[in-house]
Amino acid sequence: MNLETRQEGSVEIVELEGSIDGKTAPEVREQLRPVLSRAQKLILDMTKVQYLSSAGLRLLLLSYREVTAAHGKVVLLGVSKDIQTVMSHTGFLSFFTLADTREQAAQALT
Amino acid sequence: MALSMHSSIEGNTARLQLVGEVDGTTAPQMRAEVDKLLNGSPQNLVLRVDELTFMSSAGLRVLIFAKQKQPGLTIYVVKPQAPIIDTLRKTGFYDGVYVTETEPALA
Amino acid sequence: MEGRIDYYPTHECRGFRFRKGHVLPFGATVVGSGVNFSIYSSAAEACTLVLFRKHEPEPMVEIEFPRSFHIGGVYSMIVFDLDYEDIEYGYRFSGPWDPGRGLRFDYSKIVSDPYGRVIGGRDLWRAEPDWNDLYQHRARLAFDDFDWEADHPLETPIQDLVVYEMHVRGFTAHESSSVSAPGTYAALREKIPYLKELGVNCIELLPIYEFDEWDNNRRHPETGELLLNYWGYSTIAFFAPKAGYAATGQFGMQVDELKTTIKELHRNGIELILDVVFNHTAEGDHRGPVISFRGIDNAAYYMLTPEGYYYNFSGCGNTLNCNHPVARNMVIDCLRYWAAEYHIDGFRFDLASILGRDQNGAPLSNPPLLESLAFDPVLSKCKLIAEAWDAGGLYQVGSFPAYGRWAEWNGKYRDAVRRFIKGDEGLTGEIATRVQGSPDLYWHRGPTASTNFITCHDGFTLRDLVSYNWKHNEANAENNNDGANDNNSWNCGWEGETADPAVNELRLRQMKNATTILMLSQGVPMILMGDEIGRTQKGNNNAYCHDTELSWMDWRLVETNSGLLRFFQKVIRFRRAHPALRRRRFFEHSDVHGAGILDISFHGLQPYSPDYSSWSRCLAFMLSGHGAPELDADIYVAMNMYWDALPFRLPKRGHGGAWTVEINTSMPSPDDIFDPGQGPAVSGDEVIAGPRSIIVLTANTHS
Repeated sequence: MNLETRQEGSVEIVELEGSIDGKTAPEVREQLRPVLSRAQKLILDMTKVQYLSSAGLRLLLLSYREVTAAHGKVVLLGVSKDIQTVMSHTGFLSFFTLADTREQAAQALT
Repeated sequence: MALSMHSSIEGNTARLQLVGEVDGTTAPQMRAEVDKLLNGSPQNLVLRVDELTFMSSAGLRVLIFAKQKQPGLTIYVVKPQAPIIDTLRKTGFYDGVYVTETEPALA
Repeated sequence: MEGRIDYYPTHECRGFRFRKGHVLPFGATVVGSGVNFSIYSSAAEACTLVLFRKHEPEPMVEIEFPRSFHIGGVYSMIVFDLDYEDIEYGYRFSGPWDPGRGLRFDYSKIVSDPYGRVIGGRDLWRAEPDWNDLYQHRARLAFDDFDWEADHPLETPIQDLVVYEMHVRGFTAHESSSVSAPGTYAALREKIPYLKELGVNCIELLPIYEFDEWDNNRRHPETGELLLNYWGYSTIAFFAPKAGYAATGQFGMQVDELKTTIKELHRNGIELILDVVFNHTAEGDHRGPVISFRGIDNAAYYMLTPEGYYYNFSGCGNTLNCNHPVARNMVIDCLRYWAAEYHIDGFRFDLASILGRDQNGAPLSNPPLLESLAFDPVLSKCKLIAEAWDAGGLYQVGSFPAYGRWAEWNGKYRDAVRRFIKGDEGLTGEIATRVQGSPDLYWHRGPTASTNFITCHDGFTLRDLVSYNWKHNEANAENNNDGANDNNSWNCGWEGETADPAVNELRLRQMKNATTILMLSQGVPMILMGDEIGRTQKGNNNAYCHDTELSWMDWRLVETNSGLLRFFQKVIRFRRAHPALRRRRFFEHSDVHGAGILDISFHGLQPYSPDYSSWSRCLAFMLSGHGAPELDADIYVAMNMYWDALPFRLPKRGHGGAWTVEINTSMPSPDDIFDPGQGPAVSGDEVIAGPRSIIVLTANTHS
C-alpha cells in the first residue's frame, strides 16, 4: 500500500495505491495521521486502490469523520465501480461524498 | 320429460305453477316465463311446485337471475316434493327462499 | 492495550504471544491488540486452540490451553498480534471416547466454535468445496461495529402485521428479478419498493444461519445433478449469517451487508422475523459429521438415548437438548445476540415442540427454555412464534407453553380454510371460529396468538393448491414418498397446467377467495413469497432441495398475473385500513357501544341464521364499526362455496349509511376489488354471491 500526499493551495491530496486491509490498515492510519489532523479540505484519491476490506472501509470512515468533526470537508475521488458496489451493499457508501473527476472533487470542497 | 307452466299476476305478487321437470332443456322456458312476469316489477314470486318432480341447478339459476333482475324479490316455494327440497339443500339455496306448505296470503 | 493492567502477554508458542483470557463473552472477541477466545465444555479434559491463515489447508499454529487458564469448564485465552481479518480458528478437544455414555471426544477433529459469528468455507453459494479440507466450516472474527444511526427494532403491534414468508435467495435468484446481485441480502433491498407496494410490513426469512447447501446426497432423477439443501433447515453455526446469501460474502462482509439490509427494511416500516432452527443441527446422528457440538459437549447439546444414540424428534437425525442448561444458555445467548446486534424484530421457531421436551424427550409442562425466552428482557419486545409441533408426534397447536407471549402457526386455520374453499361440506362452524381468531384454541390469550396462514414453504404454493390434487415430488429423488399427503387441495377440474380458460378462471377466483378470507380474519396473516403473482412449483410440495427455477420467484409473473397482484395489493390495503379486522381481544358477542348490532354476528342466506349443518357450504358475518378497537366502518362478508350463486339477505342495522361493494371475487379484474368507496352501491337489502365467491361490503356507521 503506497501513500503520497501533496498540497495544492488549501487542498490536501492523498493518493492511495494498492489494497487497504487488515494488514495494511494500521500503517495507512499512521501515515494519514498528520494529514487528518491538519486538513480542512481533503481529497482522498482512490483511483489506484484495488481493494478495501472490512478493515479498510472502517479506516476510511474513521478518517473521514476525523476531518469532518473538525469542520473540514473530505471527498473520495475515483472510487472504482466495484468498490462502490461493495460500499453500497455494506452500508458505507451513504456516509461519503464521492467524485469522479478532479473538477468535481474541487467543486465538492467549496 | 316436459315442463308445463301456468302463471298469473295479482298486485305485487307473481304466481308461477311448474308441472313436470326443470332441467337443462326446459330451464330456458322457465326463464322466459319468469322474465315476462318480472316486467311488472312484483315484490313476490310464488312458485307452486307440488307437481314438479325434478329441478336441477339450471332451474335454481333462473331464480338467481330473477333476484338479480328484481332486487328485493321474495321467492316462495309452495309444497315442494322431496327431490326439490333435496336440490335446494344441496345447493345451499334452501335458506334463500321461503318454503311453505300452504299458499301464502300476499297482496 | 491502553488502560487495562492485564493485557500483557505471559506465554508464547511458536512466535505467538498469549495469556489467560476472559470467560465472557463466549466466542472470539477483539480486545485491544489481541483476540479473546472463550469456549466451554462440561466434559472435556483438555482443549487446544487451532489457528489458520484464511483458506490455508494446514494450521498456522496450535496452542494448548494451559491448565491454569481453565475456569470451571471454560477455556479462554487472549492471543496477540493477530491479523483478525485473516485468521480462521477452531478447537481440538480431548476427552473420553465412550459413546455409550454420550462421550464422543476425538482430538483428531477440529471443531468449530458454536459462538462463531462468521463462518468461512461456504463463502460463495454452491461453489464446490474442497472435500479434502480437514476443517470445512471455519470460524472467523466479525467486525461487529456498525453504524445503525437511529435504527431500532420497530415494535410494530403484532395485530398490525402482514407477514411475507420469503427465502432470501429464491426471492431474487431468477434473472427476471433484474437486480444487481441476485439471491442476496443486498438484492432484497432493491425489492423493497415492490414489498411496500404489496403492502406487507414484515418479512419472515427462511433460515439464514450458516448451513451447508451441499448437505444432500441425492441426485435429480432426470438431470443427474446433485440436489442441494436449499431451504437451510440444518444449522452449522447459530450466530453467523450465511455468507453464500451475501453479495459481499466472498469478502467476508456478510455481517455488514445483512445489517445494512435490515436498516433499510426498518427505514421503510418493514420488520424482520427470522426462522430459527433450534430443534436439530447439521451433525446428523451417530453416522453424521463432526462439525462442532458433537466434539465439544455431545451429551449436553444433544438428547441421547440411554445407549448413547441420538433421539430423533426432528426427523433430521438429532435433537438439540434445549432444556439442558448448556444448550439452553446457548439458545438464549444466540437470540439475544440477534435481537441486540442485528435489531431483529422477532423469531419463528421451527418444530418448536422440541423446545419443550426434557433431556430424555419427555414433554415438560413448564419448560425452562420457553419460560426463559418468554420473560427475557432483551427479547421482551420480540415476536416469538412457534411452529407448535415436531416430528415426534407432539402436536401443541393451542396448547403450546405460551406464558402469555408465544404466538403459534395455526395449522388448524390452514386446514379449515383449505377445506372450506375446495367445497368440503360442514366447515362453516369451524370457519366461524377461525375468522374470529380461533378462540377455541387461544381463549386465554387473544387472536394475536394465532398466525393465520393458508400456504407456507412447507407444502403447495397457493397456485398449486388450486391446480393439483396430488403432490408431484419425483424430482426430489425419493419416489414421490416425501412431502405431505393431506394437502386439502383441489385442482379445479384438471391436474396441472392447462389452457382451459374456465379452469384457470376458477383457479384465479379460488386464490382470491383464500386470500380474502385470510385478510378478513382476526389474528396475524402470513402469505408465502410469490403467492401474489401465482408462483408455481409444478405441484412439488416439498421443494427443499431445488435451487432452480422450480422454487425461485419468477418476476415475469408480475406482468402475466398483474390482476392477481393488484388484488393482493388492495386486499392487504383493505386489512390495514380497517382496525375492526385487527383486534387484540376476542369478540364479546354483544353490543357494548349501543350500535344496534353486535360486535360480530353470523348469518346465512337469511340474517342471523347461519347454517352450521353438516352439509353447509356458505357463511356470512358482519362486524360492527362501533365494536372495533377504533371507530371503523361496518363490514359484511358473504362466503359462498357452493357451485351456484346464492342470494344473501343483509342484516338490518338500526342506523348507518348504505352498503357499498369492496370486494367481489366472482368479478374479473378490475371489478373484483375497489379502492375505498369506489365500488358500486348495493341497492335493496340483498346481495348475490356468485358460485365459489366472496363478497365484502362496507358501510358507514352513521348515515
